Amino acid sequence: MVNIFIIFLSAVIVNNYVLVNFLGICPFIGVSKKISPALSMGMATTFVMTLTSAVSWLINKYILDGLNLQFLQTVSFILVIASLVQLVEMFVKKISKPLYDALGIFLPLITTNCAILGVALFLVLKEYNFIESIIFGFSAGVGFTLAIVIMAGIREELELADVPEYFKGAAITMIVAGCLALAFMGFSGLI
Amino acid sequence: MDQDFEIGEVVEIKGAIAGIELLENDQCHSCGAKMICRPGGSGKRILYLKNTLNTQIGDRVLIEQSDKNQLKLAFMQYGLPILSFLFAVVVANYLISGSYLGIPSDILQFGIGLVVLAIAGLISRYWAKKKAAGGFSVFSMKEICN
Repeated sequence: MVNIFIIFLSAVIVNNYVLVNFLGICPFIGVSKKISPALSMGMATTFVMTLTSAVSWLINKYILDGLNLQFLQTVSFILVIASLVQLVEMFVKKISKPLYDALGIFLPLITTNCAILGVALFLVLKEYNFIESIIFGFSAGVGFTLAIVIMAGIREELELADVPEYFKGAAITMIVAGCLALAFMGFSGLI
Repeated sequence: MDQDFEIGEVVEIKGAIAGIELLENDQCHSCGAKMICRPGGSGKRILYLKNTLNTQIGDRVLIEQSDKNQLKLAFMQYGLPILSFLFAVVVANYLISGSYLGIPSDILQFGIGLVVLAIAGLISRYWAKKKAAGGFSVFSMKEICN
């Protein structure tokens, strides 16, 4: 139980995928203009990350390790992510058109989110067991959500701030992202 | 958290439903993912909404997006199923330790998780249908802005 809590805390705060490992920066910048879409994107990413970590672990243990095909790890994990996202997209489209209209646009962005591939590769490197892998995937998603929501909150406030002309737009966004990353670096060494 | 707005053009009318093609906004302009963002790679994103303003083909309309409804949908679509999956796998992990009928414990745990995930998906589907019947929508027409 303690081990699981440490994995959770580590993936959410200490080794946050966005702000410490700098993975998944594209959706972090692209979908962080408002809190609501940021939170929706975070939930969708957490969903895919958790399922990806479970499926990747099983494929790695029972197929790649079993047949001594570890060199195919990256390719197979990419395939797992793309298939999962496609499956979720088909499911959402089938069960509810309004859902697809509102949230469907996030799904293709998730396919190209390198943080998800990062999770799949890291869990193999760290030699987690099945349950630890799932907790790790879920925690990485929660960490991603935390980072993107904090960023969205700050950017919403920035709309009202008197930002100098030359800093408006991408410049101030990158500065804020840098400050957030510095703040999260302060957690290193906690675990 | 409040409402968000987008502008679209009516391209299709089917009874009380209008097909509205969303126009590219400033945020989309510089986005490298804008082509994959449009369903089916069509480069177009069409919403089908109740034609509450009695619009005609070619009209430009302001579309309101409810953040609150979007969050509700996102939770029911992604939050509830993944929390159910996680809960089921963790419980199964405590209950199942060895293999059963030659099936390894982790595959059994994953299978149980998938079953619970499917049940949560069905609950989500039922909820979405019930809400849709009651007129629940993330998008709605606000005004014609020709």
